Amino acid sequence: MKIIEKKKNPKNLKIMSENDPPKLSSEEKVDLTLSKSVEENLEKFKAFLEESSDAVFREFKLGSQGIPCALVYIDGLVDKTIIHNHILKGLMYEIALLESKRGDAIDLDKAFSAVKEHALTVADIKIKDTLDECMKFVMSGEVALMVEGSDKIIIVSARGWPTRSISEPETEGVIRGPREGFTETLRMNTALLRRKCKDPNMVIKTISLGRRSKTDVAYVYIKGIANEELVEEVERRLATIDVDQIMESGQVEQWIQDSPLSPFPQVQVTERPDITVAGLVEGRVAILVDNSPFALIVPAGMYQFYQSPEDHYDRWIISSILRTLRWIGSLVATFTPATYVAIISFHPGFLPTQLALAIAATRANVPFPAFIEALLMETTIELLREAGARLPKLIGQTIGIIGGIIIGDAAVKAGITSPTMVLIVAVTAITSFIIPSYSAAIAFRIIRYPLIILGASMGMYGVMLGFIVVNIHLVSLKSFGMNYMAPQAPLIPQDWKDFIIRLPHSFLKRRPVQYYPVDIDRVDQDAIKR
Amino acid sequence: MKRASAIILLVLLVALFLTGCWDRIDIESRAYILGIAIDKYPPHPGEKEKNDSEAASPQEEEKFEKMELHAGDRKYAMTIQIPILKKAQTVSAGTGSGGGGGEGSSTWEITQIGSSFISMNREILSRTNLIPYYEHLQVIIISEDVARQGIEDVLDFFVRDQEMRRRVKLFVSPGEAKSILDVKPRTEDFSAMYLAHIPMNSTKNSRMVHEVDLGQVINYIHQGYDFVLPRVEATKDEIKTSGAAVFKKHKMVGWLSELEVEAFKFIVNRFLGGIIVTEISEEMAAETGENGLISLEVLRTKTEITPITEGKNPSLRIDIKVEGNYAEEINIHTHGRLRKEFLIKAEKQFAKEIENLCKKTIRKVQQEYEADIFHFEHIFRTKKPAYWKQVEKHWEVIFPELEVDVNVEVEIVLTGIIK
Repeated sequence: MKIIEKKKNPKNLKIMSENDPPKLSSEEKVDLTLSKSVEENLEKFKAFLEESSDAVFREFKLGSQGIPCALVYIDGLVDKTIIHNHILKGLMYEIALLESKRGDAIDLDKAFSAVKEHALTVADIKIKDTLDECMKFVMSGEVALMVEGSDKIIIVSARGWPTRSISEPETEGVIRGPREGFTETLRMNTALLRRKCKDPNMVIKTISLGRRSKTDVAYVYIKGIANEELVEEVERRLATIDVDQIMESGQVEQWIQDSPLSPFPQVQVTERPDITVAGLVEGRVAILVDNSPFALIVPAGMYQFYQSPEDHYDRWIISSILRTLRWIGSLVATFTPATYVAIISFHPGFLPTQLALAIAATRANVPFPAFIEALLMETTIELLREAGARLPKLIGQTIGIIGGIIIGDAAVKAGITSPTMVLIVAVTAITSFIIPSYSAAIAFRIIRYPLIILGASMGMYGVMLGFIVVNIHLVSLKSFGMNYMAPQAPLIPQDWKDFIIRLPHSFLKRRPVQYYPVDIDRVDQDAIKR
Repeated sequence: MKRASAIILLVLLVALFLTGCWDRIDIESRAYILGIAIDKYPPHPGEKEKNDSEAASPQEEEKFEKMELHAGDRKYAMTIQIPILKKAQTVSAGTGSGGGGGEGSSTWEITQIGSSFISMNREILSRTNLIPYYEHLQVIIISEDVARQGIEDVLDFFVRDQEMRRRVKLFVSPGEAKSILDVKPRTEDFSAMYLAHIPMNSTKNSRMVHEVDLGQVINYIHQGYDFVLPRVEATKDEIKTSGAAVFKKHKMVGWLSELEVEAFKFIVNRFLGGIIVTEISEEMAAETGENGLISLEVLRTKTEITPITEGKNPSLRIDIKVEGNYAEEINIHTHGRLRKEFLIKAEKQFAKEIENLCKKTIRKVQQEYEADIFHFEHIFRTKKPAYWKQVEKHWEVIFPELEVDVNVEVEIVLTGIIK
C-alpha cells in the first residue's frame, strides 16, 4: 500500500470541496518523482513534513568538492548515536581523510557509490528510487540520505525509540512456564518468536494495513507444516481489511473472523510467545500487529479456549483434571442461573425435599419472582466486575469487598434477594473466571441472560431448548475452514489425545489432524495405518 | 422477501413466549405435602369420643372438614401434612425473619372428608393460600380399618396423578392414621420425614419391612400377588415402625410380629442385617456354664428356594446361608478361649434358631392368613413353568398345604475385636 496517494476517496472529496474548497494538499504541491538535485528532493520531503516539529532536515557537504547531501528523519524514532557515529562522522570527516590519503577528490557522479560503499558504516541500508517508499521508511523511523547527482535515496536503518521492556503477561499468568510476554514493538515480538523456534522455515511476512496508520501486520507460519490453503486464506482476509487506522490486533481479529455476529471468539488471542510458537508448530498461522502485545492465532476451535499455557508444562494428570474442571466450570457458569430459575419457578420436585423446603423458607420474604431476582443479582455482579476492572488496582479490591460481602449480605437482609440466589450468583461468577480465555468467558456470560429468560418462561424445557440452540450454533461455526467444535463434532478420535484429557507427551507424536497440516508427524514415525 | 421472513421468524419467536409463564408457581407459594394419612369415616364410636374430648370445638372444625359431594358417601378422611416453614427449625436459615423456630407446631395437618381423593385434594385449595404439591410426598399412612376394606381404590389416585412419585413409602397403622402425623418428633420438624427415614435403618435392624413403596405395591396389586406393608405405631411423641401388615390380594388380613418379619426377610432374601440371639446348647453349657446367651450380627445372607414337583405333593426347599459376626455373649465367658469347636457349635445353635423362626412363620402365614407373601407362586412360575400351568388354578388350595423344608447354614466369619 502506498503512503502518498492522490484523491483517496474522490467521490466524497469532490462533494466536500464544493462546499468548502480545501487548501492545496501536500500531494499536489510538488512533483512526486525524485530528481537528481538534493535541494529539490528536500523540498519534496518538506512539502509534507515541514510543519511537523519532530521532522529533522540536515544538510551538509560531502568531501572536498562540497557535494550537497541531506538527511531526513523523524526525531524520537531514530537512534541518534547511529546518526552521529556511523552516518555523519563517516560522511563529513572520514571521507575527507580518505580523499587526502588517496589524493583524489570524489566528484559528483561517483559520490553516491562512494557514500554507499566507503563511508556508511551501517549494516542495514536500502536504495530506494521513489518518494513514496522513502517517505514510508522515514515515517517508520529510518533515515533518508540524499546525495547530489543521484535520483536514488539511501535508507539507513537507525530505528530506536522508547519501548516497554518485556514483562510478564498479565492476562495469562502461569505458575510454571516462561514469564515473558509480547510487547508493543513488532520487531521485538518477532524476535521473541525466533528465540523460541530456530527453524529457518518459519516465515514472517509483513504487510501494512490502515490507510492512514500504515500499521505493520506480520503473519507467521512454518513452511512445510502449515497448510498452504490456510496461509493463502489468511493473506486474502488480511488484504480485504480496508480501514484508515489499526491500533490493536482486536481490530484485525474482528475483520478476519468468520462470523462477526456470534458471541463466541473464533480467533485465539495470546500475549505469550510460547503459546504462539506451539500454535505455529501445530500448523496454524499467527498474526502479529505492531503496537499490540496480543498475537492472533488462527484457526481456533472451542477447545483452544479451555487450554491454559501450563497444560503442557505440568504433569499430564494434573493438566487433565484441570481441563475437565474447566469444561465443567463453563457449563456451570452458563447454565446454573437459568436452571436455578427454572427449578424454583417450575419444578421444585427436582430438588431433594430438605433443600426444597430450605429454599422455600429463605424465599418466603422475597417479593420478586426468581427471574427478577436472578436478573437483578447477575446485573449487580456484572456492574461490580466492570467497576473493579476500571478502577485502579488498590481501589478495585476494596470495591470487590464492598460488592461481594457487604452488598450481598445487605441485599439478603433487606429482603431483596434470597441467600441461595447470592450463592448461585457467586458460584457463577467464580466459575466464569475459570475459563482461561477472556473473550470466551465473556461469551459464556452473555448467553447466560437469554438462557435465564428461557428458563423463567418455559422452565427446564426452555433451558434445554437454549442448550440445543447454543450447541447448534457452536457446531455450525467455522474458523478459517476448521470446524469450531472439532474434535468433538465432527468426531476426530486421534485428536482427543490432547483435548479434555492431555495424554503424556510420548503419546502426542502427531499434530492435530483438524488443521490439515502438510506434515502430520512431529517426529519420525511409522506410516499411518489405514 | 428477506424482510418478510424476518418478520415471520420474529412472530414465531414471540409466540414462543406468549404462553407467559405457563405453570409457573414459585417455590415458596407451594404447600409441600410431606405425608398423607388415610382414615375411615366415620371412625369407630370409641375413637370418635376420644376425638371429641381432644379437639377444642369439634363441630366447628368438622364444618370445614366435610365437603359437599357430587355423589357417593363420605367414606374416607384424608389428612395432609404441610410444613410451616417459618416455624421449622431445620430449614429457616436466618432470613432475618422470625429467627427460626418459634412457638407452636411447625406443621399443619389438614383433614378433609369425602368420597374421592382428587376432590378432597382440590377442596383443600379452598382452605389454604398455598397450592398443594405432591412431588415431595414422603409417606402414605393407611389405617387398619381402611386397609382391611382394600387399598386398591385408595391408591388409585396416588398412582394415576402425574404429580405423584412412585417412591412414596406406604405404612399401615393399627389405630388412627392421622395420629402418626400428629406426632412431634424430637429430632425432626416433620413427622412424615421422620417416619420416611426410619426404614433406612434396616441395614442394622431387620424387624421392619423396607422397600415397599407405592410403585411396587401397585405392581403387586395389578399382578395379583400378596404382599406385606410395614406397620407403624405412635404414642404422643414417638413413632415406631416394626412388624408388618399382611395383604391378601389388596385386602389386609392380619399382622406379622417383629420376629416374624425377621423370618420373612430371611425367606425372601431381603435380610440386610440384624441381630439373632439364641441360648447356648446343652453341649456348650457343659463348657461355659448354664443360661448363656450368644448374639449373631448378620452380615450377609443368601437364600435359594428350590421347588420340588416330584412325588405326590409339590414342596419347597429353602436354603438360607448366613454369614455373621459373633457379636456378644451374655452370662458366659470365653475370653481367650474362643475356639473353632465352640464356634461351630454356636453356628449350629444360631442355625437352629433361624430355622425354627422361619418354619413357625411360614406355618402361621400358610394356615392363618393363606396369603402367599413369600411369592412362592413366583418360584414355581419361573422355575417350573410346565408344572405351574397345571396347578395355576388350584394355587389357592395348594399354598396352605405346601410342604416347606428350611435349611439354614450359619458361618461365623468374625468374632469382634477381642478373642
